[in-house]
Amino acid sequence: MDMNFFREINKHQELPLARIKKIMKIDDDVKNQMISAEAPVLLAKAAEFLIEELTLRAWIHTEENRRKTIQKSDIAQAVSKNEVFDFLIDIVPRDEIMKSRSVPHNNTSTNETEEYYQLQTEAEAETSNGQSVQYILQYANNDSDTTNLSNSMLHLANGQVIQATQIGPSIPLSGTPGQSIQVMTVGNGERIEIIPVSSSNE
Amino acid sequence: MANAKIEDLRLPQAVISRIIKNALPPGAIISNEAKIAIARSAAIFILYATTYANENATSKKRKAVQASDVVHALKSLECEELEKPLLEAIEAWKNKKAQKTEERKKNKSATAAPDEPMEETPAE
Repeated sequence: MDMNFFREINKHQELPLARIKKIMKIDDDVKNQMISAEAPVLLAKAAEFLIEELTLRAWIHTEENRRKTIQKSDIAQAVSKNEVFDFLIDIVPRDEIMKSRSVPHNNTSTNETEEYYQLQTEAEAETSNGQSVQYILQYANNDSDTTNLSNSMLHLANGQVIQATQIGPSIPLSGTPGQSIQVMTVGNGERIEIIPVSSSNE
Repeated sequence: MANAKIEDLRLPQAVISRIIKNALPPGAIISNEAKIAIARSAAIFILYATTYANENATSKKRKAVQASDVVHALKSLECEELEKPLLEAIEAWKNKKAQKTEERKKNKSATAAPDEPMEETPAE
């Protein structure tokens, strides 16, 4: 009985109608319009439902990740998973998009002798004699187009991670006789050919 | 377009928090950042629905945005299931308003009454 009574009082604390009317007036087209007294009441209630819905949808993702605290990312996920919240996509951006934007992009390099792609593989062991070895990395499944290689990460089967950062313009790959071409197959069917190229300032 | 203004027009945190808390199961916590995101979402939702409601009003050559326009707007936002509880809410609000004015009349006749009635009857 008492609990119900308090709940009723709690329900009474609604969103302020004056504030809602102010928000409505932000729209330039509405500025000169009149707003009937019922409109903010309806919107207050509707906004309340939206808050509840969004909260519960976010909570689903929080529980999936076995957390107890709803994070902003849960809300972002709830927004992206439900079409009803499409209009909120710009308001609650997904974190992944933010991350990919913050990746530093180096295209100021003009030095031809620089490595075209920086590879972190076991082949680095060959540089023990002080000579720097350059590698050119190219997707074998699409010879003409290597532009999609920029900022890509490749996970090899043995747990190694190759980070390919495009620095210079992509150059056509031609197998020179006498050079060994190392071909690796990546899990998703793409092949990587690695050809050692002697440094041009040699 | 009016982003600066939207920043100014935040909905009150206390009310938002209470709505969120009532919706969640006990023991659930919400981070402050998430709370702000929800508050902002609610404000954007109001603005978004208003735009639709206003379109409907002007298409019918009316000068005022009415309740029916808001209901229409929510329908086009694919929130049809809200229609019934919203109409109930507006009925409750009308009843409450009628009661308030009656009380005010009574108070005025009795003494020089303050603006707000002392007691609010929960209408639901």
